[in-house]
Amino acid sequence: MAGKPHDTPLTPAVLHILLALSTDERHGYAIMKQVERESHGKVRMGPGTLYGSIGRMMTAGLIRESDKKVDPAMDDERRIYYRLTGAGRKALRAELDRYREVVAVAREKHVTPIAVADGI
Amino acid sequence: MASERAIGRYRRWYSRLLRLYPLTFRRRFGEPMAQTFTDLIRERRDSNRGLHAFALGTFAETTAGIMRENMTQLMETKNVIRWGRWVLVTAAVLAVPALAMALQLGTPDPGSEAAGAVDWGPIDFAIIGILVLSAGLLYEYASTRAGSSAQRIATGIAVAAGLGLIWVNLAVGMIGDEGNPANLMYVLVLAVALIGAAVSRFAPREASAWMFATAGTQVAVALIALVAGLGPTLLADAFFVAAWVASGLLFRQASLTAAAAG
Repeated sequence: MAGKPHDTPLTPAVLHILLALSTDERHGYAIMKQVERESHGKVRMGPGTLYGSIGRMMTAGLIRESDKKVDPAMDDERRIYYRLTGAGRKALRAELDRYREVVAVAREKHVTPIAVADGI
Repeated sequence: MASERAIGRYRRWYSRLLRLYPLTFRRRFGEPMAQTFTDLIRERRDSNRGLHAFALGTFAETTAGIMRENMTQLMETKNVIRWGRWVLVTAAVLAVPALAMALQLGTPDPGSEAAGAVDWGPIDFAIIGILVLSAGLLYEYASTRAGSSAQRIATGIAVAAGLGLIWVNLAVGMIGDEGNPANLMYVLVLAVALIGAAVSRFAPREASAWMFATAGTQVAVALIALVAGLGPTLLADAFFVAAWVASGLLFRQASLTAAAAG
């Protein structure tokens, strides 16, 4: 992930964090809530997974700390906000393209979730 | 409100848990993680959902993260080289008696029957090898948590003193000879140092207090041996007490420097 982040598939946690940060700068708790909302409650990350992923993403240059520090709705100024970098946007776009290609192949083969479940 | 007390308690426990992360990770994410945990647990409280199972689950999830980050750090190339270095040091230490035995030289050793003769058995090599390697790895582990050179030196002195105390007791004994059961009193000294390392996790302020406690225990052991007429080697005791105190002072220095830096 460190060299060319958009060339390799992303882990589900990294993909969800990139998606959460694609629309706004957010701190850790806000990222968790956004991921939960966007996945309709199917993906829930704990702090260990979240910050472990954030650390690796920062090392890979996908996200970085933002200058924004205070959320007026919150009461603590120690929060750190994160934002996407250019490499992060590229990685997200590349991953979504990959998903689109996979879905297109599945459609060509007429593979639907029901067909898979029925073993067709 | 009772849950406010519970939240405070869980926050404290969670902050302690975070201390198990590697130093670099903790410095970067320790505060945001503690804050995120507080946000999550407050959300649970405000929505009238149970705190205990949630806290337990989050602690387990974070523990998995701690293991992952520590493993990642250990497997970094530079760390593998550092750990490997201690394998070489251990081999070099063991090579000395092995070479002396091969050349039939007379040097001090922990396993000889006749004074001056080097005659180590496989168990002697195994014990000393494990001791030196464990001490080296303990030092490396503690070094990854050290925030300053004073803390690293303090750790090095403490580990060396512990290793030295075991070695001297196995080789010639601090009291009488190595077979004298009174030497078992020094297990107390090592126990205080080891408990201190485990409890303080080499955090400078706590480690400093534990090193002074270790020095105090060794003074007490030497005094008991003196009063009981067991003939302790006071010079050797003084040497080790000085080492524990030096370690304690350096940990204290590291703690003050860290506090001044905020």
